[in-house]
This record gives sequence, structure tokens and C-alpha cells, in this order.
Amino acid sequence: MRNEPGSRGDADRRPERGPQQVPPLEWATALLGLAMMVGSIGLILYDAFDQDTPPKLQAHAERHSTIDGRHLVEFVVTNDGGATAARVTVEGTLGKAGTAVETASVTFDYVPAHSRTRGGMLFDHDPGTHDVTFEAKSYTEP
Amino acid sequence: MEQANRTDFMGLARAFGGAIVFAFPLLMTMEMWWLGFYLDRLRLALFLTVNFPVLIGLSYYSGIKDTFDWRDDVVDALTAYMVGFVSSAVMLAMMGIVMPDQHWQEILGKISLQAVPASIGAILARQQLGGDERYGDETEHRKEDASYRGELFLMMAGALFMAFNVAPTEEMVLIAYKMTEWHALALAFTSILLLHVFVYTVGFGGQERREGAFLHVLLRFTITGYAIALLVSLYVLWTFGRTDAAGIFETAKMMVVIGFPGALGAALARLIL
Repeated sequence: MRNEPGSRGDADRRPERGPQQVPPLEWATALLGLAMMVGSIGLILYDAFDQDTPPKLQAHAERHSTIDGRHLVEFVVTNDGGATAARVTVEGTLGKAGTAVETASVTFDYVPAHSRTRGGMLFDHDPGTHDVTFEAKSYTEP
Repeated sequence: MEQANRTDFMGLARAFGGAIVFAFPLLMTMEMWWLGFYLDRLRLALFLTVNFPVLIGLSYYSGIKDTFDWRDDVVDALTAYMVGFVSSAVMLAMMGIVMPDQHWQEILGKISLQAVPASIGAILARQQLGGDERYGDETEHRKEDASYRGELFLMMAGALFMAFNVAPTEEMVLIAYKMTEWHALALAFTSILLLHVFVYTVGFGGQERREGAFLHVLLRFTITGYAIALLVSLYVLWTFGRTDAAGIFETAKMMVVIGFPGALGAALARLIL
């Protein structure tokens, strides 16, 4: 672009810009790019030192509702650890007086580090009159 | 000045177009989203760092616009990084892959991994989408005159781009499992053959064909090009954590599998870059 006659006028109009003649728009986009590159690499490096901690999985019920006579319990799985867990199995149990009445389970593809994922389980018994417990049982490394 | 600004804006718009056109297959690949959050952070940071000199080199040979010195190549590379980052963020947010309630670590990982192919697309945009002939002459000329080192760089960049396009998928590992050693040898031979055919007939036409010798091209470009493709595929596999659990033979087979698109990328470097 610099070599063609049409744009040589650039220098004439802005003689104070010196020999480099990088237009302002380019400086702006390049500075933005520099900020993004340094920022993202910096944050990722900062994050790198957090990744050693194992997944810390917890599950708890959020709310329940009744659909066509069956009981839906929605729950949340959180991973407060620094590493991602794959194929996370969660088991939900309805219990009464210390014995399990009904169980259900589900497998999540991934629960990323510092993240939460939601799921639901369907029960025949009413969770309102039972003790509801959710437990993350197992995972694999991604 | 208005004219200059208009051209700059056109260049920027074209860069965004290129970023999306080149990166959309990976933007729509779920393994890329997963890798965004579980990829080893040090390897991801290294990958983003390595991308920068590659962008500078690509800017020299086929930039957003004709560049006049190294400083301008750096400016172009940074602009491409910005374009790659922004377009990936917008696309991932639009498809619901990046959500505001996700942890910043997950969001940043997904976006910055996608920014690598998108930024390469931004740099290549002019070459691919540009119909404006005023831009082309200087870099075309440079490509014709590219030194041997320059040729090898272009092959490396082509291999990286093509290998990266398929390397994240589960299929690469699966194919390596399915293949016997004989299959791998056949694939390696086919890769070399295709690389040679392209290099000899289209990729490095003109100059190289004048020098004539079949053996000359074979040794100087085909074999070296395949070696580059294999090294690039090993690097990409390592970055994605595919080599961690694999034994040496399994790793070699995966290298050959990714080396196939890598070799095609190296062969077609002159056409696609």
C-alpha cells in the first residue's frame, strides 16, 4: 500500500508522523491486540499454578417439583478444585429413617474446574417426605 | 486521509471475515470447547506465545496488507491477534458456548484457544478473500523469492494450520487405535507421495521445476516437508495432551495420522497461505 502513488499523500498530510507511517487505526488495533495477548497469556500463566489441586466435587439438591405424578429433583454439582473432572457420576438417594428407599444416578461428561453444572433426577416417592441426599461418586481425568 | 481510513477499515473488516471463515470448523467442534477448560495451562500459554512469531512470519509472506518493515509485521500480527480474540469471543458467546456464569478460567481458555486459528485466518484473509490487486504484488513477489528458510517456514505454517484443524477431535486418537503398523506405514507413504506430487507440480512450481531434478525436490522439499509435518503434529498432539498417556508406538501412529493433514498443509502452503 505504501508503494503506490495514491497513498503516498499520507505522509504529506501528516508529516509529523515520521518515516514509519503506521496509521492511527492500526496503532489502536495493534495496542488492543498487545493488551489481549499479554493479558490472556498472563492470566493463563497465573491460572497454571492453581491447576494442581484435584477436583473437589459436591452435589446438593436445589428444588423439586411434580410432573405427571413423578417427582423431579433438580440438583447442582460444583467443582471447587483446580482441575476438571470428566464422567462425573452423581447418585441421588431418597431415604427414610436411615434406609434408602429409592436411588437414581446420572453421569456428567464434564464438570470444569471452578464450575457448576445442573441436572435432574426423577423419583417415584415424594422427596418432600423423605431425606434427599446427592453425592458425587466418581470421575475420570479428561 | 478519508481514502486511507477507508482502506484501513476495509482491511480490518476483511481480517474479521477471514478469522471467521478459517476458524468456524473449529468454533463448531466440541472438543475445542472442552480443551478450552481442561488443557494444561502452561501448554496453552506456550501455544499462544508460539502463535505470535508464526503470525509475524505469515504477515511477512501474506499479511493483512503489504508490510514495509519488521515493525509493521509486528503491528499486523498484533492486529490479527486482536481480531482472532474478538471474533472467537463473539462467535462462542453467540452459540452459547461461553456464558457469563462460567468461571473466568473456563471462558478465557475457550476463547484464547479459538483465537489461535482465528488469528491465522485474519492474517491470511487478504490472500484468500482479497480481490484487490493493488495489494498483492509485493508479497507475491516475496513468496516467489522466498529463501529456502522461508519455504520451510511456509510449509511449517501450512502444516500447523491443517493439523490444528483436525487434531482436537477424538477421531485422531481413534484412528491411531484402529490402525495396525502396516496401515500407518501406508498412510505415511501416501502422505509423502501426495506431498511430493503437490510440491513438484503445483506448490513450488516455476523456480523449483526449472532446476528440474526429481531427486532435488524430493530431498530438499518433500522429505524435509514431511519431517516438518511430523514435528508439527507431535507438537500439536503434546499441546492437546494426547501424548501424555500414550506409549511411544501409539504416539508414533498418532503422529502419522495428524501428519497426513499436516503434509497436505505443507504441500499446499503456497496456495492456502
